[in-house]
Amino acid sequence: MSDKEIIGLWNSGQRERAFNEIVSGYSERLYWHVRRFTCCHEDTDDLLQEIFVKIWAALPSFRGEAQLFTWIYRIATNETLNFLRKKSLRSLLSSGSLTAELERLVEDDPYFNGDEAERLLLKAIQKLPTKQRMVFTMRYFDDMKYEDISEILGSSVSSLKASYHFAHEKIKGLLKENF
Amino acid sequence: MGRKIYHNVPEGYFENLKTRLSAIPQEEAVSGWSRMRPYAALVAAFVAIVTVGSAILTLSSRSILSGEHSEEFGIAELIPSIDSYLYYSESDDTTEVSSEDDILEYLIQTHTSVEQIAYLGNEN
Repeated sequence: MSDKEIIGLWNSGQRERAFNEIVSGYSERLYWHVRRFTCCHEDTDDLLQEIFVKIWAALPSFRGEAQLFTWIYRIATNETLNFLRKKSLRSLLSSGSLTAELERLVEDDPYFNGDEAERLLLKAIQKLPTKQRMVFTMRYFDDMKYEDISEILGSSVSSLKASYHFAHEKIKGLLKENF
Repeated sequence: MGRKIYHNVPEGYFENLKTRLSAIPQEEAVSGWSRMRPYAALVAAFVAIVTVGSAILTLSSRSILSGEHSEEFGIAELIPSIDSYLYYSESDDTTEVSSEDDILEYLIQTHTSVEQIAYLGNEN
């Protein structure tokens, strides 16, 4: 079902059906989107539940000014960022760092089924600053257009292109060190 | 969906995920009232306290304003209490003591002792 049809269902009062269509169309996409930042299946599962609760709560206030797709991704991205901030504070309290924690999760992930180069790529991405990590992940893994990323992150297309460029150069340098 | 996925998921995970997420509207409807219940109880308790307190204050202020005790309390405020009989008596008797009989009557009623009378008599 298209986003337009989902909005039509919601506006006609079939709210639960509209929400179920969102679950059907977005749950798997959002899983992978969130997974690339949490680096952990269990954390992603917990976070997805919270994200969809937020979506259900916020649907009445959706006015249709943005695309449904970018609106949903914005909720998911904000919740993921909040999760990472809390994780970062917990890491600091235990005298660690979030980057080291995420690299460890990538290294020990029992669900990883890629090759060594892909593992190194995932670890290199965790070393990027948050915004660069977001832009790179959405562009490289999700094939998103800059205009859509701009709506999700609230940044201009030009700054996103710059962020992507810096992220790309940094990852190239990190991978060269390992090969 | 992303073109590059480097992870597996547990078998049947996404079907199970959709089932769990689809239950959110029903769960939120139930938990909404459960979450509100303690606050509703607090509000009800607060309203009860305020209502009962207001009723007590209203009744108390009515009895004060009706003057049942105002005269007694007013006099007590102004005059140091030496002889409670003099100031809190409800008697309206204001006739002056003039005759010997009246004096004797007064002395008896105030339980004035013989020694005190003798002492006062010597002073005069």
